[in-house]
Amino acid sequence: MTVPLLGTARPAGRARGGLGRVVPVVLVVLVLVLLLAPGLLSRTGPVDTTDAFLSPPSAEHWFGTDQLGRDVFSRTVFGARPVLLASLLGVLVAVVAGVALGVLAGAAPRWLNAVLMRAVDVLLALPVLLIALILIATAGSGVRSIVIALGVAFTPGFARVVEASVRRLRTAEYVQAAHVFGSTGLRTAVRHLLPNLMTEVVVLASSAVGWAVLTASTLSFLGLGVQLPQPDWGSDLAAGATSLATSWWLATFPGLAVTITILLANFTGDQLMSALDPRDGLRLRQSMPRLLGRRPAGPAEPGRSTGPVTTNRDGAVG
Amino acid sequence: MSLLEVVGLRTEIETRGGRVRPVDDVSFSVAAGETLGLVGESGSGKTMTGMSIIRLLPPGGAVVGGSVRFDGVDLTALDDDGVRRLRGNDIAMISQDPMTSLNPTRTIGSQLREAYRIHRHGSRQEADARAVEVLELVGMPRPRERLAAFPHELSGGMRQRVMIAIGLVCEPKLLIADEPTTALDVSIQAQILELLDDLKRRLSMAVVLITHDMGVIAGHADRVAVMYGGRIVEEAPTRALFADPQHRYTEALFESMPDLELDRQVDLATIPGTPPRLVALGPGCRFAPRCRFAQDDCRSADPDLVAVGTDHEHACFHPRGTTTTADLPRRRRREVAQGAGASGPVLEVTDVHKRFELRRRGLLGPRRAVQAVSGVSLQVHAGETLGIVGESGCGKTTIGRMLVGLEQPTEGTIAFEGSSFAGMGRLAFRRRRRDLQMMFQDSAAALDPRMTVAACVAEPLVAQQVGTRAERAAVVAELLDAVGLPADAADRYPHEFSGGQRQRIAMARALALRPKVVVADEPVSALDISVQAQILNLMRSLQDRFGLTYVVISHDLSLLKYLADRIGVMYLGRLVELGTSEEVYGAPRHPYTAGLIESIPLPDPTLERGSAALGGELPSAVDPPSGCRFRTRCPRATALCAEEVPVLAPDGDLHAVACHHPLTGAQPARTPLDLQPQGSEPR
Repeated sequence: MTVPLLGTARPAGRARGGLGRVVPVVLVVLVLVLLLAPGLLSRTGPVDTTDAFLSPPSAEHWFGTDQLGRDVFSRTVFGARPVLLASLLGVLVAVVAGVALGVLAGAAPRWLNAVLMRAVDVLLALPVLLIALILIATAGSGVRSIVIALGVAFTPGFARVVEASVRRLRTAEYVQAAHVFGSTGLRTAVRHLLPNLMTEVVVLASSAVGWAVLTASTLSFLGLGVQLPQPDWGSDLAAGATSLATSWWLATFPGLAVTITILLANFTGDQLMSALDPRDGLRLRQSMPRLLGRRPAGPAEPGRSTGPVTTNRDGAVG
Repeated sequence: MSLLEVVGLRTEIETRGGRVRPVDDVSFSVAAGETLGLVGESGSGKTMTGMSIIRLLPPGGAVVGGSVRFDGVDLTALDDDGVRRLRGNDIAMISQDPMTSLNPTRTIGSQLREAYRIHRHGSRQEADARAVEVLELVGMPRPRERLAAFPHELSGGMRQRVMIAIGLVCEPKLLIADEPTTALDVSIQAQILELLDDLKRRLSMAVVLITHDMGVIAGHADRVAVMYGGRIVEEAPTRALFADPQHRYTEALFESMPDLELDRQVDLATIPGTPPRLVALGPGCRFAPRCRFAQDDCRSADPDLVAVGTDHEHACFHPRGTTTTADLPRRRRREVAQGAGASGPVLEVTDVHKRFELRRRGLLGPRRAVQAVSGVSLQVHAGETLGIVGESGCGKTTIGRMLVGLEQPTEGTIAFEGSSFAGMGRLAFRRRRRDLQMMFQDSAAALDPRMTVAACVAEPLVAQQVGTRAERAAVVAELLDAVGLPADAADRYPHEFSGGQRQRIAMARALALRPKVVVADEPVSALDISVQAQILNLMRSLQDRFGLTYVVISHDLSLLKYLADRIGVMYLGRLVELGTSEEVYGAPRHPYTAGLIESIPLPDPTLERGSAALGGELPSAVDPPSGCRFRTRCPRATALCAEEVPVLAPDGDLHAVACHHPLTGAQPARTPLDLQPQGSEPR
């Protein structure tokens, strides 16, 4: 009785081809290479010195070289590992802790919810850098401290979002229906709450990666992360910042790397948001065949016996 | 000369799914002082027609053809400013949901003033005076005080009155009322419709009444245009249309409505299939795929409107008048030994109370609680269908939720097959749930959007750890077949189905555990009439097949009259009347039941209509009236009603009623105070 119902129809001509499918694959491959085998991208090592000192970008050295003759391109490539490792792991810790805390608080009785959420509020009030500084002062610098700091810092954000969603989902009719047919609380949480929370969590996580990259770089910039001479965007940025007037390439390329990573993280978030919409996006359980361009099993011709359906189902599960 | 003349109107909306044409070559006219009813199912384009007139289309929408002449001006040729000057000034629109169409952060006074000052540029005093005037016009009690009220402080009916008042501020010549009463209770609906009629007469406005409800149309429109698939398929004076519908769609619509005279033993007529999507339609009658009279010419050419009588036009190649109507062979129900008394009660509700605690007002304010259900006792017998009817806020949904164990009663007990839920162990309770299932109102919300249909239907089995994977798959296939869905539905997702199909999926899921009792909370109120009938028939055939007991909760009395064996009428947390559906409808004993029955808009324009049967509004359940809770709206109320709570008591052969002054049967002598039963609490 309102706007004509268009939602029931599957959009026919959604442009999911070409670029939309290639870009995520390229991104995943790139991140994996940077994390596991940066040597594939750069012939020279990050600490190998050459004869060219402070040479500007050239065909030989794409990003130029620094005071010790080290290749800036190589350092930028190898510098990705500590930053990406710290921020991805940190966000992973935050997602796990935040979702657990949020589901617990959302499903808990009112008093426990109040206790948990006020604790989360306190954590939220602490600046990331302060937490990191305390941790580094007590546990020493390094990737591990940064991961823990990021995890602690980002947990409250996830916890709050998840808690709000759980409270909303608890009154959803399909969750109530699960109660009616006697589903246990844990089962309902796993089968209904988590899958329906995933969209928000995944989208939030991907933009959190952007923030985490910025924070990790900041810590390294301040000298609290990876120690020189090991390559790292933050510390290289700090090292090159003083000579920006004379050798611009030293600080520019690590800086650009940080910027592009954050942009890509946020862009990925937007893409995931539409991709994870259950109405016309990928679904977690059948995302791979779709991603590779296969349509899901289309509607079979009506009137077929029930046999194929059951075998299909078993086949898909087995 | 008509006030509004629409000729060949076409509207298109660009969507991701393609170009939708919700209004396709629509022509009609409305004269001053006349009401044109625009009737159709959801997606038939009736709302978009109204929106196209005042050019309030959704993003991507545009009027692409035809003309709209209003008071001698062609609206399609006007620029945006010109249309804006007309909107709210000469043309007013009332929309369906007064909850969302009033701004919750501003007082109704300021919203009324805004409507006035946009077009009249008067002073604040003038605007205030006008606001009070229109509020009086729409029957708002104490209008001057209400100017400072916020929308949430008013009831739904009062908010709709405010919406109408805002529409009337500038004395429009044309009022477009888009489902003005769909969100309201029957008794309030009757009040609002009567108000619209009265205003039309007094202000000699033209009214376009958009609705899906034939009953509303019958009583309040002078002429009716039936829309289907973006087209007007039949247009006629109301009486002519109801007496002699020509188009096959109109005919089918009438047949599929459950009305009060229907034989309960016969299945409802249905219209198979679902309304068309208005994307890339080929030539041919849009109703042809669902029409049992369709022939080749229907599928190859568009029928044009042809006149068949005074002002009566239809667009059908094979109208009702030309062929003899072969009566559809309708399935008769198997005569089963039904319901009441045949066997013992499966569910026993004994003096159940449910209170919901509210937040205190202020730190040290008194404890407050909503008395959702106060002292209801009833029994549900095996194999019967018990209907529970009442207006919103009467506690019928809470009863249903308590029956399936979603809520626990604050006081009283609910027992299934003799054993009470309270004190049952967790595990035993979980097993018990197999026997009690629920169908929810909104099938879109009741199915997890991330599960396939097969997973949804199999879920109760998985949760209860019944059967192996293969066995469950077999059960799912069987159930989908039982509810009339194709087998390939199993691997699709709920959003790929229409509302009616989703309700079938929900039904299949409710039946997966082979329950004994199914509680259905407004099972069809979200569906179109033609689809409603399909679901109602399905519910009845499944009842016969699986031996189910139904508790159907609804606000719709004609639906329950058709579906239920016994009916309980609830008012503000109390059961006021309980009897077989024939008894309750044929000879209602409680004044509230009688008023409710009278408020139903009947699809019969020849009936004389009195004033709205139930005046006033539902009192607050936080602080209900003393004694009989209905006394504030009851024409028969006496001092006794304020003092003493009437008890639900049968009177000889008559069905039970909780009233001191029942409409039929002896008036009970005043019960001595020392015999006052347990169920009545002094308040």
